[in-house]
Amino acid sequence: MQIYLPVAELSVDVFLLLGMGAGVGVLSGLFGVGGGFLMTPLLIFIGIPPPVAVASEANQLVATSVSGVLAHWRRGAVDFKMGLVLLSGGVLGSGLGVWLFKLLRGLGQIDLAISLCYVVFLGIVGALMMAESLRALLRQRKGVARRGKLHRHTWIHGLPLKMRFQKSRLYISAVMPFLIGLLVGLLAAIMGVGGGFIMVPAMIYLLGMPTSMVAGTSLFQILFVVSTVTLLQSAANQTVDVILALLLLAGSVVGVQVGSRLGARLPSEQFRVLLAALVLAVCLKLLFDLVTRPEDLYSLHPGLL
Amino acid sequence: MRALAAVLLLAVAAPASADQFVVDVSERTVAITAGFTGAELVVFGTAAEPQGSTAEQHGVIVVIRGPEQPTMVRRKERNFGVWANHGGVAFPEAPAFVWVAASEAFVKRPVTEVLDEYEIGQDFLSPAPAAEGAPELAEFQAALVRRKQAAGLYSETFGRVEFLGEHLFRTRVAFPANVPVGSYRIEVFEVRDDQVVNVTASALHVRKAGLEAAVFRFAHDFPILHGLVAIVLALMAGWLAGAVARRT
Repeated sequence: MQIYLPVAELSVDVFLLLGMGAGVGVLSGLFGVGGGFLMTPLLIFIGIPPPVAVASEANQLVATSVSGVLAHWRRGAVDFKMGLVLLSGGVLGSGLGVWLFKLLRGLGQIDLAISLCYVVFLGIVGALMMAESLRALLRQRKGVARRGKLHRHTWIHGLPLKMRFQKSRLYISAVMPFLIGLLVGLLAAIMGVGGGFIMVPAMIYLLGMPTSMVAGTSLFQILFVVSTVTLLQSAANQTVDVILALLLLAGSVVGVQVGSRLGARLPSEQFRVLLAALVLAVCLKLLFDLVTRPEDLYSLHPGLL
Repeated sequence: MRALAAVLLLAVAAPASADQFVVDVSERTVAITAGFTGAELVVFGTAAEPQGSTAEQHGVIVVIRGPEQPTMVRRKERNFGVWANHGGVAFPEAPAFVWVAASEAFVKRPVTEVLDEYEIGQDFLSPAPAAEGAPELAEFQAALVRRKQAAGLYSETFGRVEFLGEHLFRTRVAFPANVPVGSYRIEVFEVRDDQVVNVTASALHVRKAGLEAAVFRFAHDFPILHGLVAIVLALMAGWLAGAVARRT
């Protein structure tokens, strides 16, 4: 059954969109990731114009993150103070990102910018994740538990504007979380992702937050950042397709439930290797498309800029 | 029905057949609704001169050209191993859609003088660039036509205009699902001995209708409010999903 998407201005099979929503939703539930980094490239592969894919995916992520935040909040696993510092950077970053998006679109380089961002970030995150999970698997085989230091003093602790984050039991400079938030906001606007796949490692390794607080707090920041991106993209570029977002959302709602139930029964370490492989596969596919000679060197773009 | 039409035609056309060139289309508007997968229209009419002994020299060409849109054609070049857009030519009034049909004789033997004069068909279409003196203009014009054909928006071959008897003709136009919104012109040329003897032009509108139109207009006319509504809808959907999941 075909449906005409009013903003993307093309007709797409409803069941394809629902299926994509469900498929990515299963992975989200399984691994606790938002899935934006998979969904946006998928949307572009099926022919949705990249600006519409990015903006509509941000809209869908609002729904995905709100249910996550509520669940973590009920368990008291959200550090609101940290969340607000991250968010202040995030709002500024997403504003910058939407502005940059508009500029690059005018220059005819937005598709390239989106692809390059994906290749770079998926490459880094995929490689790190692969290394980390393989190491964890090896440790499991050997049965050796590694004990880390309780507190490592690094250059980050020397930054000014120190703040106390009671919930995370941290006394650190607000500069670092602000910068992390800024970067994630920027990426959210350009790549149509929540940015959890960058923020979560950054919160654990750079800020030293307890893992129990990381998921809820990052979701809190993501919820507000993707909302800001949705609003700004709609206002500046009119690229948010609500019908597309709602269809993806309907599929993902079901998929997430299935995924999280599956996740409880499956060995998580082995599956992290699979996720890393998936991330690297998407990265390589995008890289391949960038370096191979396109079938037609010419392309059409609406407007005169 | 056809017999009745023929009788009426005879009654009206017989006395003054020389200048009865009348054309109409089955629908004046194409409405794009949620389930839109394309539309088929019929363009029909009566030719002034009889089709018959001189069939080789006589016939009709139907052209549908749709909204002039500013279009940028960009070319990719390889930089640092990556193919990126590098330079382009802007066409302020490139037709978004072009479709051509001709009667059988002209499909076999195109009347190049006429096609050239009226810029009919892919070989004779030459949209004007925004700035004069663009280098390699012809290549960019060819690329514009080629990409439009690949998108199914410019016809690659001529459709067929059928004659039903001496004067009555008709042709079917299929609009694809990605047909652009806007005003179209239907031009019909009656050609005899490689000369255009009659021309008519009429308008056709393609527009979004129903929910599709409402959503699109809302997104463009009230972009900030649209963004807020999009967020609220997503928040409600997410909250609802969480609530349902907790129950089960």
